[in-house]
Amino acid sequence: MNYYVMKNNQRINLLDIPTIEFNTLRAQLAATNLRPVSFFGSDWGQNVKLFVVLADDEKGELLVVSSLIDKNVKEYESITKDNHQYHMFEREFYEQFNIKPLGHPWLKPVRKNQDDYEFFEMEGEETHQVAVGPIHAGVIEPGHFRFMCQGEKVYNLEIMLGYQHRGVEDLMVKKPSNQLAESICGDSVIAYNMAYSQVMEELSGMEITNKAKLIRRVALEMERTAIHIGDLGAILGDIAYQMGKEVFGVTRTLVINTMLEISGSRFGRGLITVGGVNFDIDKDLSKKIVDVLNNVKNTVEKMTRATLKSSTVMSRLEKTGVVSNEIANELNLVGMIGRSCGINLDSRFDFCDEFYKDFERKSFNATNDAYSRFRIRYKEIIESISFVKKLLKKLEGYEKEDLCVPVKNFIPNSFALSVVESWRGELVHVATTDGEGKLSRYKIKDPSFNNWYGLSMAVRNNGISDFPLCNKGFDLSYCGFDL
Amino acid sequence: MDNNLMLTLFNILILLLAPFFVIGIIKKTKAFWSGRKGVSIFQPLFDTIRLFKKDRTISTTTSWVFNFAPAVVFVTTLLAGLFVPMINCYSIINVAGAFIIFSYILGLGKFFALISAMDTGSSFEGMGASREASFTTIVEPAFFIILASLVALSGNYTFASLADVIKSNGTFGILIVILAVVSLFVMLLTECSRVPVDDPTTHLELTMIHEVMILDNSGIDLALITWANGIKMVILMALIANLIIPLGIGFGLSVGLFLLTLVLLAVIIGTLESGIARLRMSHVFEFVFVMSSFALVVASLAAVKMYGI
Amino acid sequence: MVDNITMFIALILSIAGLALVGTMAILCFTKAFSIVFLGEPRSEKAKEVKEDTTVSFIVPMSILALFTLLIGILPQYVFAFMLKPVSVFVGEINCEALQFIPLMQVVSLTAFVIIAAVAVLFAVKYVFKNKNEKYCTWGCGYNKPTSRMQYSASSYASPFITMLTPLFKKVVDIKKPKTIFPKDAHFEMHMEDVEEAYFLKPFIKSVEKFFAKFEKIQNGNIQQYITYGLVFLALALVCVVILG
Repeated sequence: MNYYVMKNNQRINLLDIPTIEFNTLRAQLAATNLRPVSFFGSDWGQNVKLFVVLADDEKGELLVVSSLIDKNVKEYESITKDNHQYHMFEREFYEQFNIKPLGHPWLKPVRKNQDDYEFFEMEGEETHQVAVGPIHAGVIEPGHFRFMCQGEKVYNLEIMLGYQHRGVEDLMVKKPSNQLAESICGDSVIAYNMAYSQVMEELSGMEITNKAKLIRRVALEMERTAIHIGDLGAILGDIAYQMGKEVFGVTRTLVINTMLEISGSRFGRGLITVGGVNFDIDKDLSKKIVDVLNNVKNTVEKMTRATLKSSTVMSRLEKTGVVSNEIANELNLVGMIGRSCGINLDSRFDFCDEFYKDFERKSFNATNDAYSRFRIRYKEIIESISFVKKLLKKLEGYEKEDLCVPVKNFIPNSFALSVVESWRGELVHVATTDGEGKLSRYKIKDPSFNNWYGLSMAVRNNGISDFPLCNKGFDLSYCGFDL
Repeated sequence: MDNNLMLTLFNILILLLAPFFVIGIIKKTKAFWSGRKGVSIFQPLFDTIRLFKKDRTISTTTSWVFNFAPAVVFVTTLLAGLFVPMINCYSIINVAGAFIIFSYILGLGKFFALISAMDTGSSFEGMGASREASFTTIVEPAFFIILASLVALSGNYTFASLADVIKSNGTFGILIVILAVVSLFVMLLTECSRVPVDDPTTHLELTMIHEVMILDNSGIDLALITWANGIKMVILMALIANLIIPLGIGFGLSVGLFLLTLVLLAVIIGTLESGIARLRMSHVFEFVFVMSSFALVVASLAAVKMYGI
Repeated sequence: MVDNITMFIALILSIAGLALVGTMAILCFTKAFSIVFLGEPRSEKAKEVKEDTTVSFIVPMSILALFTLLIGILPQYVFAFMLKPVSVFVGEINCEALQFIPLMQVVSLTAFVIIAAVAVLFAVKYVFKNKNEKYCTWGCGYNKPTSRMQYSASSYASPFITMLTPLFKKVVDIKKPKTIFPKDAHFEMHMEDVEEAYFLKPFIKSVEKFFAKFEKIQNGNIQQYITYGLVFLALALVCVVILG
């Protein structure tokens, strides 16, 4: 098998990546059972170079390969035909470079040309369609959902996104900055900024201090805690369990107010920069964080116990929105949603992060329904709080180090990638530089890119009034998908 | 007849003004359980006044039905309220067989509300209308059974049969009153869309029953419909009050107990909304069937009392 | 008031039945009226429908509708009017029935009050002189709504039908989307009565099967029919000879 094997957060020489003929690539991909984490095209002179990155989660390695496609070749034989895990990647590739995958079973627009989107329709006069969005009654992001229903039962759901397509990838190549990276997805500020900064540091060959690395990870885990607590409250709000909604809402504020004390922004904007971090966590602040998190942990534990005792809540959560293990595997669901369906992927542990190596990786008993998605958030909150405490303890040893190292120029002809476990799942940033040391391509894959189709599958054969519960349980990013 | 005039005025005042305050108390109770101060109890009144001043947006898909329906809903609800006794068994219109005409007047309002919702051609509103229509088929027969049993028990064809059930029937009376009150409470939760049947504060159209039927109404139409829904809640609370409050106590005490019952029921609804989650749609039907089963038990208890089995 | 327990049970059942009939009528007529007349046209044919009725179609139906309406808003006169022919069968109408004349007067009064009040309120709405802006139905801001995004008749009745599952036999022709990338799907349903489906149909089928065995007799061959006639005549002659 012809691949270049690399690790997470590594820079390799762009020209070292093997370039093979497309049909060989296709056969190679068909022969392996590793999943794709990145699949994108890049302008390469007169042609298009297709990069494919596969993940070997057991060994913690990433396998890169590429293929050169002539621009005049307007089509190729689709890989999705044989392996459904590539379905979204091929649709995106078609939309960006107009090279058609022949035989793709679901070739529809991803982010643009929404007027050309043809929805799947169920024949029969007795069925009706329910169209929800893009404007929703609550203050949430725009997206269009098309349900095929008969009575109260949903037989199919199709989701059309792209309303917030801002052309981030092109902007990133022209004017890369931390501020841009933070603003791509407003609820994953730390994760996006961390992935971006790591990619930039790899491309420049910069080695940041341990202190900065630890502070970044503390912020990442705190972001995870805060968002998960907010989600628990939102899920309970959707089923009208007011007590839970209010308590979790208040508790989340405690966590993000602590983030405010660290970085001056409740969501952590401005904390991370290329070369390190901008703010320090000294001994007093560290103690304060630990106290707040202990308090939060107690409240969350108490409230969750009370919630799970309530039979009305449990009757809503159990057996709602089930996604089977087979479908989850077929669609390559990642992150928290994948773990709640039995797909045990966590890039913090799979790619052997130097600090997480010492932490215990606990297993989760997945039941694939909304209850599972509720429980996994609870589990990750408790875990993240303990991780923060351990990371802060480690931080004490690096008190004397600098926060930042000086910024260097990019190394020409480089290929770097960074996989960060944001609270939704694996976030992948890939960047390449050209011969003059300028950025030539920046590719982002949000975990929602894999997971949106899972939501369509989860709602099938459920009542339509259970859809908001499924949607909140998944809580996927619209703007992270739309880029 | 001064007394009758006072009672008539009291009935009308309660019908027109109590809806706002009852909803205000429910919101205050929910705020209390959330640890918040909450809006003032006058806020629903201010909101309705504000709606009266607003312009309307009318959908091009709708026809005369949409324009017409809010007026019908409001008039029928108010008129139905005239049949309901509040204190001392006094109702403004008192006639034998009142509960039948009461139900059918409300049914007329409901019919227009349903076709007005379907008129907009929106699948949300159709969804709400279909759920509403199905719940009515469970609620109405149960209501009729309860009232028919009470009529047979007291020999009085009017709503006065609700009064003094305990006094005339001893232990059976207590059981019957408890079951009837719970049944009417479930009917209140269903007709007025409270938790666990529906969540009135939700923004999710796919889960709503009543609110989604009025999604396209605006301005004075919306004001009339919200007011009418509040009046319906007060009417059902008044029926419950009639079962609980004994006759023959003085005017002042009756008024006090009546108002206290309204407040207490509002607080109970608010507490229930804060403490339990909304049921899955298929389970809501089972919940409403509680009303039918209790109604049948009330009928059996009445039979046992009358024919001594 | 009610003499014995049988009367009481009859009372309870009949009143529950009355209420059920009333609510089912609401469900049925809101469904029929709204699917046919309201909302956006639900099919191409519905969009292009043209009125080709004349006055002679409408006037008779209007007269019948008017009579129905009169029974509703002036019931006391209709009731008094009907008492005479009914008393031919039942003898003198006793006081219990006449007790309800005042109720009917109240019903009539209420009907007129409703009509008057609605008219007044309707007029008041126009007096309020607020602007009425026209726009399309709330479709969540989606820019390409289709007429299929409306409730269908079968979906409207579906929650109620689900409650009555033991009374009907649902014949469903459904192809659900099962795979991740479904190719097509359809749904068709109609209801059959339980007696017809589980009793009458099997009975009729077995009778048919039995008689199908005699198909050979009726094969349309004229010669065979003449043979039957000859055989019958011969038999008849033999019988006459033996018995007579």
